[in-house]
Amino acid sequence: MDATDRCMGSAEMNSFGPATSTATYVYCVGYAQALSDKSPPFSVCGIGGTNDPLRVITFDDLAAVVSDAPATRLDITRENLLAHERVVTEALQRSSVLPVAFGMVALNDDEVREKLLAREFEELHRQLDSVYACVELDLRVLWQRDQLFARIAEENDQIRALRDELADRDPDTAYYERIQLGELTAAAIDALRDEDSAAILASLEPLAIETKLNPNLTDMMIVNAAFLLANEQIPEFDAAVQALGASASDRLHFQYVGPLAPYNFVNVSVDWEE
Amino acid sequence: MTTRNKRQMVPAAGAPVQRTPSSSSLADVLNVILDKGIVIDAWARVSVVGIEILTIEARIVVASVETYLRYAEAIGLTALAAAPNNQQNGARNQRSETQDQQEPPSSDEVYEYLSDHPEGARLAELEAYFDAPREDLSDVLNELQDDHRVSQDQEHRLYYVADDQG
Repeated sequence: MDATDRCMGSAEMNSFGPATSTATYVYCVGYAQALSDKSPPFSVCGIGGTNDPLRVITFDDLAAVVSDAPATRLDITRENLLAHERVVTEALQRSSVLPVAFGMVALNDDEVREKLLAREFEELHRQLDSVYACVELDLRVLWQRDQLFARIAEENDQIRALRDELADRDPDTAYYERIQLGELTAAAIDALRDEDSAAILASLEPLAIETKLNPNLTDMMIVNAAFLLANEQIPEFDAAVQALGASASDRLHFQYVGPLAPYNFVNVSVDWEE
Repeated sequence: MTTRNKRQMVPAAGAPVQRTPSSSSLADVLNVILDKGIVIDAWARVSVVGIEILTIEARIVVASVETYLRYAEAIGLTALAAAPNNQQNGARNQRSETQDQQEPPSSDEVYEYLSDHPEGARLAELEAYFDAPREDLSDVLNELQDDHRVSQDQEHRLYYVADDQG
């Protein structure tokens, strides 16, 4: 039983092919030849829990990976997000792709072909070519909280002195001094963040084609970055991240994810004005 | 509260940095999947029921008196860690005794609590039991869900130990 049979399995009860109540969910855009010619069917199913098989819509040498989906709004659930990401990941193994953001639903296949692939052909092609044989790796680096505060107290005489002075005082009477201590600490954290992030990025940025810095999400986060890499650059980049980890495993925590489709390096925003 | 004393907060020193595939670390790529990539305005059909997972990511640090007091507290505790009479026990043991209200519980502790409560537990209940901030517990629960150790009943907002761990 191949993947198409498996995906169609429970959909048989409903209908074959697009029915009027369904719409077309779009996962990503890639090269038509790599995505459709002679490739085995996708091993994962479409979004929405209906086991709809994935299909490929082509225009010239571009293709969009799609599946049937209910023409209603899609909930941001774990299952739906995973379904989206699994499809994009599998497509990425076959072709360079431009990922589509979660939740893009066209009325039907024709609309995908005409309003996305045909109308935006040149821009899609240009961006797809620019990420040819590339993937994205995402890295977040966070401080280990205890280590950070110990390091600040150790390195900063003023903070250490104020801390010791406040140690024996009633917290209520020392309210403003505590705020002052906190302010000094916050300033020290900001300075350390600049220092640590510069050091980390200096060792990684030269190994990537392009780097995108995103805002830090918590006060313990130092780096929240996406790196665009050619496939053959990955081992060297992995080694550099490992080296960073080995040199600072007691004070830094790493969230290292990939390979991803180049989400952070796609900039196609379509807004038809008709 | 025997579970509290078993707290193990020491990070695995020297553990190599693992690169994880996106499908097994959904929390880490949530922003990416939702905000980046090709956007077709007329086709965007998303309903935001999963707001709970989003709030964790959207947490933004704003400098405030509350933040300063929290930092002052954290710095103050570094003195306890360095106090000479604590060194025999090891600084960490001492800190975990005195810092119960600040440190988020570990994923193992939350897991253990949920194992003892097969009927499930709400976030507020965990918040009260561990005396930990909601956002920290959400982080831990998210991690446990990513590891498929814990499931969430969205309708009743209950967390419980997952049946199909694997």
